Amino acid sequence: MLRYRDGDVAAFETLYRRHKDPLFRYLLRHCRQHAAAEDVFQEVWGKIIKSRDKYRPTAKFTTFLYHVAHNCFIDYIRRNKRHGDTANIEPDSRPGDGDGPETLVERSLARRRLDAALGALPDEQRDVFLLHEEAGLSLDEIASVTDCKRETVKSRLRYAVGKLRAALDEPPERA
Amino acid sequence: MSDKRIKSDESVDPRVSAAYREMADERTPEHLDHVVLNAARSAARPRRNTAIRWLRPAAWAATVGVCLAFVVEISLLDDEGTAGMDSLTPAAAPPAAVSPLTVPAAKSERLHNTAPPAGEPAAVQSVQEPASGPAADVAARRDEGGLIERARELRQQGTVIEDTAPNRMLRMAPETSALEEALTEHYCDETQTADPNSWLECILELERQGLHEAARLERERLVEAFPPPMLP
Repeated sequence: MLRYRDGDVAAFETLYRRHKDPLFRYLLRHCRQHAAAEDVFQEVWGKIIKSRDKYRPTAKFTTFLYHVAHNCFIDYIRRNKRHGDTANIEPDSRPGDGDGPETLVERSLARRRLDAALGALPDEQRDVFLLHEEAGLSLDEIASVTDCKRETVKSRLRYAVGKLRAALDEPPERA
Repeated sequence: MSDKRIKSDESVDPRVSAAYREMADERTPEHLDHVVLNAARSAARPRRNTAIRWLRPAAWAATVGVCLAFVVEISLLDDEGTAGMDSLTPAAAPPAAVSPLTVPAAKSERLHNTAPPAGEPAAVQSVQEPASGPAADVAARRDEGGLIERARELRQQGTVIEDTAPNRMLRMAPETSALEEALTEHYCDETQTADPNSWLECILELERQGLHEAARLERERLVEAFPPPMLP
């Protein structure tokens, strides 16, 4: 980021390619709509680009990036109160090599259950879980991003994981 | 990385994490890559261009200006040089042809024969008057016919005047007027003028000989060459 601040566009490209997919998934899980996720994604990177002069390496770039993304998503929620009403994420159901038909079906169902459970999580819990899984942030870093205490983050993460585990453990016929 | 934190935090179930990772394999659409990267490039570009915006035209203008000045200077020098060489008129006679004929003894003789009026150099008067003796000789040599003859002689003798810039300037320069020559005459030689003390002695000697105008000219030269702080 410092190199990009000094005009090195190639450094930004490296940074972007490293973080784009996890960030996009983070926003997609939150927004539940591709179009909305794309808009917020552009907004996040636009803010990163604009703030390059003010950037100070006081923390990991990842923390800075997801802090911006978190704030952009909150803004998105405020703008679109009904963001959770439509969920059009279609889980990928590509078959794996060597998997039998039953295994593929079971895996596909599990993905759908997990996706549904993730979408059903409260925003705060989902946010903490995604920051942990996608951004790879620690509890302290998540606390910094979400402006919460570490214990609060830990509690939210525990609740989120518990709900997701329960969804995974559901019998297939109930899903 | 995540697994390590899972163990330390004891908040995340590895099975949930693995299931999520298996599910979450969406990629950023390519059009978003283009949009973001183009925005990044365009945001970075103006900062460079602001410097280059002034630097490049300034560099080009400076280069063109220097080249033009050089070409004009060269063309002017060439024109004047060829004109000076082609038309060897009395006005453009080579000073080098005259200088060897100058007799240093004529200076003192001329100055002895003339009484310097106030405010006018004696040498000027002596050159302008058709006097006899060495002064008349010098005046006669400055005659147009004499100069042309001398130039022809030099050409016939094959005297090669080095084609240097000062010589070219000398060839191109019009004949020095008698007044200018009189003003530029030196009465103390180089060995004397090298040191202020010997120069002062030379001036005193000139005054003792009654060459007051010459002494005055030498005093002016001395003051120019050795300003008062440097004088003994």
